Amino acid sequence: MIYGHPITRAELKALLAADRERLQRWRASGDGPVPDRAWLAVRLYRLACYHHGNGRRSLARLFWQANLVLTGADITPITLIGPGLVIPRPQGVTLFGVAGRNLTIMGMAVIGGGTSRQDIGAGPGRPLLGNDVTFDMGAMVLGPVRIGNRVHIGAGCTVMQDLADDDRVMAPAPIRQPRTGAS
Amino acid sequence: MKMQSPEHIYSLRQLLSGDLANALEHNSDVLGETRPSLRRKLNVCLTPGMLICLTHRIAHWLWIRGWSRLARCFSQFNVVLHHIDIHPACQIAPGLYIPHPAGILLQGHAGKKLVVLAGAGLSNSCNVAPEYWPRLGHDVWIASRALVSGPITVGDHVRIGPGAVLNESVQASTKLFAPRPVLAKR
Repeated sequence: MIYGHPITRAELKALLAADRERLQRWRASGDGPVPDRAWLAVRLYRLACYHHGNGRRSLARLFWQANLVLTGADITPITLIGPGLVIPRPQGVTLFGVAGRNLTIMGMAVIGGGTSRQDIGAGPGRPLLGNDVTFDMGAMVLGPVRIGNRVHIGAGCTVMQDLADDDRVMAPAPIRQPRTGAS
Repeated sequence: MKMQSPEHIYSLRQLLSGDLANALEHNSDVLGETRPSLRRKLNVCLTPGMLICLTHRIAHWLWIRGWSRLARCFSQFNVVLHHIDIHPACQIAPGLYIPHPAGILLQGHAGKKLVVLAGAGLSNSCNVAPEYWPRLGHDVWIASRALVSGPITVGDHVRIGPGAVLNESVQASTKLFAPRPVLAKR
């Protein structure tokens, strides 16, 4: 899988098998109910990516739109993500960039969409993610930044700078103010 | 810790009438009505917020009786039609009010009179059973883009302000705000 090159049918099958295997492991690792939308979102994205790379752009757009309507995930076909992608809750997920293997994304995470148009190897203005990256709910990586391997981005964080390997990012705690009376 | 489902305490009808009462209360705050007319009630019944409540109550009713596939179908109906993802296992007491449903993710338990505004998220970030999902008390507001994540407990009458990210438990009657954005030097 190289950015800018179409993936072959054999590669598509291998990617889907890896995604499925990782999702099954994810399902087995806890007793949380993982919805079927998790698998649907990944499958529709892979199909859109495959067809877009092989010149069938209308079909790719159809799969993209179906993904948006049925699961709430907006993953553009030019996004390139390695094998083992898991999106347990696809609601509000927007992906636009290049990522390595075993990417985990909880709900409402956003990758891409910065203001700079600089190209660091993932297309203009898109982030480049390493392997085994985890996004918590509402985490965002914006702009042309490099994210290392095994990085964990906590809930509600907005990352707009490079992160080294094994980094863990947490959002600042909210300001608390005790209330008197209810209103 | 196993939580008793509100369906064992409240009937489907009680849940829905509670939702309607809370929606009417919020609407009459805006309109200045003290006694809503039948027409106003019907009007409120057809807002997306009430339709979501109806769908979720049915989905949860099916879920706790073991009809998980059908419950997921109802949940999917909410996703497609209203762009809101409420897991059918969520235990929410009567009085759920969602004025603007787009982009909301709910995966947790809540007490009476929960108000969720646009783009809010409530979830545990790990793959765990519903017993370990976040738990909210009565009369909690989750404002726009606020996130509640982790196996935490939030007390009664808590207001989670816009954009706040909550990772730890909170006492009752607290207001939470997001830290102020930093002004970049030009």
